[in-house]
Amino acid sequence: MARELRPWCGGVLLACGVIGLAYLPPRGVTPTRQRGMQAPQPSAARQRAQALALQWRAADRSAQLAEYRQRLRQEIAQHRATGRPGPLLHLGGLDAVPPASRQLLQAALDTVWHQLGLGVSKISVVVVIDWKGATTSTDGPGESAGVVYMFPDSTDRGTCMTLIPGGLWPRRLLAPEIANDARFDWFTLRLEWLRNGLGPCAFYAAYGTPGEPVRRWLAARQYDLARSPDWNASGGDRPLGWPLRSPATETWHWNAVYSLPAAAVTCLAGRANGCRTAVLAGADRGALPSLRQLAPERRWWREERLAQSYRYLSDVAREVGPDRFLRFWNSPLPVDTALAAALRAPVGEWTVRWQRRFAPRLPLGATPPPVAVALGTMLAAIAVVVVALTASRRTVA
Amino acid sequence: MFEGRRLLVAFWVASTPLLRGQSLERGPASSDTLAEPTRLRMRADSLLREWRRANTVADVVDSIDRARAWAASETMSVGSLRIVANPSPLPLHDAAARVWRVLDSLYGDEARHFERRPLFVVAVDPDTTVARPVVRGGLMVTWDLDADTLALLLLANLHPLDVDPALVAWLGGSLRPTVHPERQRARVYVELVTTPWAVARDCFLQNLEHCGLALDLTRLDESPESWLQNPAERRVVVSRFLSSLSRGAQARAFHDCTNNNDSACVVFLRSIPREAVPRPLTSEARKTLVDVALQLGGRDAYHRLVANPDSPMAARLAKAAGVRIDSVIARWRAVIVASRPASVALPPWGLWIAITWTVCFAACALRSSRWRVN
Amino acid sequence: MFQVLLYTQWKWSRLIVTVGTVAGFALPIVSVQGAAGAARNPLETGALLAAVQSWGALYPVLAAALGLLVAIATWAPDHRGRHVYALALPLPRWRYVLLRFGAGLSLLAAPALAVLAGALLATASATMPPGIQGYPVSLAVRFALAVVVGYAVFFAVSSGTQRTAGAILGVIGLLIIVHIIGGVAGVDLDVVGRLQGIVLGWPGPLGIFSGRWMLLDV
Repeated sequence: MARELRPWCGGVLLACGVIGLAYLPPRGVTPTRQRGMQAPQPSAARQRAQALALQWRAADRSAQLAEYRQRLRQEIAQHRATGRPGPLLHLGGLDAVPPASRQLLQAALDTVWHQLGLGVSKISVVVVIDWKGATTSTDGPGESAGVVYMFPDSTDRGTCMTLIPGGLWPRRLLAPEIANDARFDWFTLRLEWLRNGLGPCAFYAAYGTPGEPVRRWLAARQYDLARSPDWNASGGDRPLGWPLRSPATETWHWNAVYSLPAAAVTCLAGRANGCRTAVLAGADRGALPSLRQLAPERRWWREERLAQSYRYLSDVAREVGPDRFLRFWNSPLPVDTALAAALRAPVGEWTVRWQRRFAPRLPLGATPPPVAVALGTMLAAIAVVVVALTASRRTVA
Repeated sequence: MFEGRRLLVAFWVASTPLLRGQSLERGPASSDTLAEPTRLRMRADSLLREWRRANTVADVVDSIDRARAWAASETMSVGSLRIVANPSPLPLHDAAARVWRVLDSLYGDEARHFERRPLFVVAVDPDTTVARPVVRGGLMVTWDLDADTLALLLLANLHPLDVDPALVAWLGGSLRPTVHPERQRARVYVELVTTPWAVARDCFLQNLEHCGLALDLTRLDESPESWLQNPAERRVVVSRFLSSLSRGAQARAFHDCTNNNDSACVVFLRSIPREAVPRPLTSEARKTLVDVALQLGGRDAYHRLVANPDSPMAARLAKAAGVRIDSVIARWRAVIVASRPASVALPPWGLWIAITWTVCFAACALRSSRWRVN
Repeated sequence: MFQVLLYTQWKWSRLIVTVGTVAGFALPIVSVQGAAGAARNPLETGALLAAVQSWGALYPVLAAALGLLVAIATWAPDHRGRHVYALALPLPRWRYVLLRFGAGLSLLAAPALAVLAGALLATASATMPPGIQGYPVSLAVRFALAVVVGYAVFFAVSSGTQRTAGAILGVIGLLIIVHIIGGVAGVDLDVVGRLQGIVLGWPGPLGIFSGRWMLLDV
């Protein structure tokens, strides 16, 4: 048999050798041209204009916020002096705001404040809604900017401001007649819009100014972990959805998954060190100047460093309770130590468990699910046993 | 001092790194609070001026690019249709002639407006190894397309003439040329025959008044229950299609309606927006009615159709056709009934194909060693 | 006895095994062509992973094909000879079956080892973008398991009598007919889709074939 095997083995080795020589090391691949019409690429001049437009929108919002803070200085002082609970609401812009909309807005803001368990806060929160319309300037680039925050700083240590842009959506949310449109739960949508508008300012209101390490860490990450204050929410966690996964078909959108940083992908795959890296990114930066204003990217999914990062600190606060979270928030210790102490667990492991609440483990690599291996092996064994048993009944016909 | 501050702002703007997507305002630790808004506003204004300059340059660059891309192109005219394309083997003239015939039959004299809407076509080599030009704007097609396919592509990419919102709302879209009118009419025939709505079935059974109801030619102030002929239909429509509206003030009426209270169904239907109620016939049926009206009315029919956007739809169609609306509906019904699709029948060559394959497989089976005697 | 059976089995299925071995060696290498050095048209990370995922669909196909063909080659001569030779051997029949199975499994080790060798070479020579790593061993182990499961299932099917094979085919045909009739009658009866989900999905017995077979991943 051995003699007969030699030419065959030789042939196989020769074929494998030829393939190895031809294709190793990898030779590269010319990317295939997209089928169908391609969107035209903007010219370099157009790209520069678009980049300048982005900068202008952020600068315009910052200037507006600073102007509002100056204009509302007295009102803020009065609001603080009277000890009224709740944020100070100001409706800016040139258009008149219908009284019914104003009432709806105030009621919704009070509800959100109450839901967050906040009363009279040490840090005053000022909510400015620019009622003017979709664009801040009629002769500037179109497309509205997003929310802008101004945090307490050396000039005003007691105020956190948020400027929420107006436009069609807020007008629709606050239209009194919208209640007749029974297709959507407008009340909940209104609260969610306001809650996301409050963003990090709600954390400031609830827990005060964060300690230096936490502030540096959050500033380095654009406060991405504190965008959605919802620490008193009841009910189960919403499953992970667009753009990463379709809960209906239970399939992952791999293009979107791979657009996340590697640490975020490995965290979804259940690797604690990946989760730790994703959460603590930015904590090792050196001393930074304080972050006074923040204009987050409206298309937040493009900048995620951790899946569902916007609710991370809210969920931490909900789980550990206000006292432990307050100790973490104000802690002078390094972030990883303070957070692990608050969680009473390593950061990476807790984050893995947190992600499992709303997303199944992301399958990476080629490892099959253990259950599939067990069932497959069992099936193979059953098949062979069945054949062995039935063979004994075989006869020559 | 003011000049110094401007210089400082200019220097700061020039040295600010390009930020992508978000901005961090990392200001100095202490600053004059009164001057800060001014400083920030000056920075924003400076960026706006810079953007305006850059936008102007970008517009110029884009127009030069466009002109360069279309420099070697030729303009073809067929009727009022204008097509700008690069020289290539594409059968553009044939396709354009077919497209123009369709446009002219639909829009009549109004088709002259297409002179102002040239179509830009870039014909490229079907060989995928050949680099394709970068073109901003225009329809890119491979030049191995046949005239029929190209004509369909041109029709699909032509921007139709603008019509008033009332017509768009009634039609369920803009008024586009129909590519396969006979297939469309056959589908409407099937719809009439298989519809669950009594009013549409009555239309098939020659009740022209109910045809008008089924085609939504009722007045806007009339409630949609006029086309729901009996309590069972009203209950089915409300419970199956309108359950999402059963909140707030309508919840009680919805509940009563689903429990066989017809008065509650009527109250519910009158309380919701008219456009929320599903119509008995689809937009295809209404499109075929428009086609019939335009054919009856001749070349000026389209012009008369769009002339009075405030008139009721029935009046507009009658004016377009030049006859009473009853006659238009009668003609429409006759056209639809005559468009009955062919039933599934065995094609003449089907039988021979089946016999051939049977013989083939039988021959293969008989060749098996099982049947051969050694 | 095992050696004799192995030899006869080798003779019947050597072409299948050698072609499968070469294919198993080539597949990992071809799938990482996009992971080239900077001077050689490397693909971007997203495109590279998409290419690896596309090629990865061929691993279960190869595993199933090898299992099927070797199983058919195992039993075809016995069926042709009406099992006279097998029944005449001085062996308990269950032992004969196990020896046949073992012989086929031994031959199928070659393609599995070829996949391992190809995967190791491919990951060693590929220039991987930051954050990407290779999974050669888990890929090869999964391939081997898939080959074993596929071979065992087809081994059982092929060993049956014509009546058994007919019965199995009849059941499959009946399910397809019911599915088609349900579709024609407008009944919501997705028999094929549900069975596919149960058998190939998680945690079905053939779930090892489905999913992503990624040689390179995050």
